[in-house]
Amino acid sequence: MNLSSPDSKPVRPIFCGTDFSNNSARAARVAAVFAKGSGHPLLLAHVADELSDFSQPNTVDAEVFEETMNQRLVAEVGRLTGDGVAVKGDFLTTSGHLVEHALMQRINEVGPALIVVSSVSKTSFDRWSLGSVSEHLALRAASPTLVVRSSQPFEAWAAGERTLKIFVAVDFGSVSDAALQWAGELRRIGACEIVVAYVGRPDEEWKRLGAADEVRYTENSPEVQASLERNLREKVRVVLGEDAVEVIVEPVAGRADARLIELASEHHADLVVVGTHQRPLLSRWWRPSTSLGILRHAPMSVACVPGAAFPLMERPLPEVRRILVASDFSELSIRAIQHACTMAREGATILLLHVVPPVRLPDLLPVPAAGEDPHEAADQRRRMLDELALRLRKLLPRDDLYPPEIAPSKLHFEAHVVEDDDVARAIGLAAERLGADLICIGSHGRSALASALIGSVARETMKRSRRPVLFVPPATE
Amino acid sequence: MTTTPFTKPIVCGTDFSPLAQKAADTAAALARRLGVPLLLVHAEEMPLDSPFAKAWLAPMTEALKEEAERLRKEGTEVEEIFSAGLPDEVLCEIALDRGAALVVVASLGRRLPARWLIGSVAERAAEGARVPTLVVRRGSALQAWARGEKPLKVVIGVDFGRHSERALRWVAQLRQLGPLEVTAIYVDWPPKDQPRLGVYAPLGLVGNEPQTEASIERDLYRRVTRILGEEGVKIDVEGTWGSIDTQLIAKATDAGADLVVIGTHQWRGLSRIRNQSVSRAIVRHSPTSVVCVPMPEREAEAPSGPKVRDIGRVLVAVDLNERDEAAASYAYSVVKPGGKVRLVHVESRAPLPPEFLGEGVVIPEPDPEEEAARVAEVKERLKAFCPEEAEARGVQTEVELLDAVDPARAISDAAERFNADVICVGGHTRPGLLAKVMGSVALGVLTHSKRPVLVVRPPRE
Repeated sequence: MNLSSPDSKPVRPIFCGTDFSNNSARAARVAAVFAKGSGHPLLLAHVADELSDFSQPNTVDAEVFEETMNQRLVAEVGRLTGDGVAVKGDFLTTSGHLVEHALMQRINEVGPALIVVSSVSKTSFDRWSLGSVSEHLALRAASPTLVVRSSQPFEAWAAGERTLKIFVAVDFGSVSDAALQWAGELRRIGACEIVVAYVGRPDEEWKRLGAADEVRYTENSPEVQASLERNLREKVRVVLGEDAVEVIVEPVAGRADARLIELASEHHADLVVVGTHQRPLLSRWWRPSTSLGILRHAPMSVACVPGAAFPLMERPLPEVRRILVASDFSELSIRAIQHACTMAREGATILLLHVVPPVRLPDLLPVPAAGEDPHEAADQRRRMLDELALRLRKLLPRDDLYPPEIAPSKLHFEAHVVEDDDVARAIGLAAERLGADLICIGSHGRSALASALIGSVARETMKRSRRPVLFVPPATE
Repeated sequence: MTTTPFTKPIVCGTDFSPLAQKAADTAAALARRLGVPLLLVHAEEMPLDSPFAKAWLAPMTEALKEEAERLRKEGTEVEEIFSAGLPDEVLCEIALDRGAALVVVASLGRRLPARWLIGSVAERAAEGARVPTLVVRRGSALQAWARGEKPLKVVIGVDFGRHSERALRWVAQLRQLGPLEVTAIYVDWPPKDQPRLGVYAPLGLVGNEPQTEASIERDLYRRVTRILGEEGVKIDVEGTWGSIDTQLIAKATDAGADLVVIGTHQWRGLSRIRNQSVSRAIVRHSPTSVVCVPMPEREAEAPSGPKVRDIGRVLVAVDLNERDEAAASYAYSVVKPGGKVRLVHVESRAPLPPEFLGEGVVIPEPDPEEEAARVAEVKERLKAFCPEEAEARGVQTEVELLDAVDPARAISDAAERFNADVICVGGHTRPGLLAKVMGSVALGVLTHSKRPVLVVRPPRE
């Protein structure tokens, strides 16, 4: 479904819906820009809607009406043809349904690489009563939908007069990978300037990442901000490569879509790209759709990319760059570290994690006697944690255990000691915070019964984290 | 291991018998080839400082000197050592003290009663020394090789343990000195190896099932060539219900071996009786010269864990009904360039046993043509899991369709057959109580398999 492979058969057209209005003509010109840039043919579709055309007297024969519309389509096709773009007209009739249904049906038949439609600004009442064709398509089509508000930037971009400023709104899910990938493919058509933005509520992010510093509500705490920025940059790098891409992480108090539109305007974006889950109506009510909000309210053009636009097999392979290894200094966990190193490629980072139960007041922390430094107990505790981190670093495997091309000395190591009662939770949180691509833990192959009754850290971790988990069994001999 | 392994002296024990002279000749030839000194050792079981002993031992000292002179004439640097104590203990001690590379002893070939009573210096040395021990029989081939006249035919007895890895590494070092024709022989015991590989064919009484044999052969080839390279190396796998040593000796004899190399566990005391030392039996019975390679002391006592393999083979369990693309793409992501990925799909189409079906119920056999078409279609769907980048990375893809009642079991068995470095499964956790009762395939694989398991859940949207 990507724009870049026009030779993949059958050739998927770029689909543009038109109603011959000025707005539509603009959309059609943008569609032609994309068709030319990517080498796909352009399919210009018009749905003859008897009901909407009030200029026609009722007595006029339907055939005459259709003939007129068909001629207008042919004329529009003629205007766009040339300049190396293959344009085809597609004349559809509603046959009693709504326009969007007829379009959707055709889209399902041809499976276009891209859908281009214009946005007709409507008031809330209109939208509620008449619905919006662009929203209908964006929420249902399996292809990316581009809603055009201004054609000028695209035309200047295609002519090589300027770079296209693309603003990609993402979260940490797989759907926004599709948005990133689509934005990345636009770089093949012309020079692009990509900004990737993530907004989140500071307190929720703080909780999700299990940060150790204090929670804040109007801005992200330093640890949360650092962690989010690193994770976002890593996510962008996997999809878009090492190219320079601006990454912004902003706190948000209210709706994410409003903040994202604000940010896009601040960055003078020509195009906002957003992934869409295409959730059905009820769950949309339950979880308001950010993509729909952006599509509706953004002043610039918006592309909605559904996850289905790039099936998993067409996405870049996941990279294992940061591996979290839980270690309790046992022999098994040392083995886990060894195996984690085999999973890593050169330049990867191994994150060693040790979890200690926290000190609970007042049973373990003695009340300082007169003359004693009240902070000493806390200092002592901190020293103990530091010492554990040092001991963790000593667990690094020797180079000579490995084939030379995966020698551990080519990897980076970080040691982290955290305090938590629940080891599995601590591992899950640390994986989020540190942006681990993979979690590695030692697992005793207990019998089915025992593990059902006792449960194990390994099992709990698997339930708590959606990240891949590598279980390393004890050595056999 | 250094690249110039043999810079240390060679220790050779002698009792001046003709066989011992032959052994000394061989040791001298090797020492000359390597340019290292030869320590010629003779031991007597009596204190050397009494006047009586001096008179008694004078001829022995003389004989040792003569023997050393004889070898020096051929251009070997010889140091003679006359020592008190049991010959095998003395040899091991000197080897350890002087950091020898090799201990060379002759085999006297005593018959049973004498062996019981006196024991064999060769066997004891092989089991006690911390360095490789060469037990010489018919040393002419070794001498010819040391003179660079002809390649040496070496047979290595290997299994999949750490000890035979030492033996392989030793042969790799030997190979730096002169041409070798290497045959690696693995003798397995079908009742153990066949179920390990999950091959459910009936056990034959002679040899292995073809599937088992192919599987072992491939693993062995990978193991051996990783250390020795592919040139001039042959692989031989044999299944036997009898004793491993006898079979190994027979095979070595058939291959016309000049030298048999074997790793030794150096079991002691009771564990030797329990574990039935193969190396000891080979030292005893082999008609050829034998080298026993022990684990170095450091590693034998404090195992630092087995060597870690890079990830060259990944097995992915794919359930076509679920969203397992993520598991497949991670498999391709972690496998090293040029590695292999096998996509496995388990169906549960095995018919119920007749007693469950009731009287007269017959399950119709599927039409073979339709069945073949269906299998082809499933395999096609499996192949679709291979991402576009796989080719660019030189990763090969294989597909396998299994029919089994217990998918977890089938997957871990398939991993055993494939010799997977990592098993990759999709994790579809069932909610709450259901998970406790039924478990999931991922957990089942985790319980069954002794290999690392990578559980990949579908990504968050």
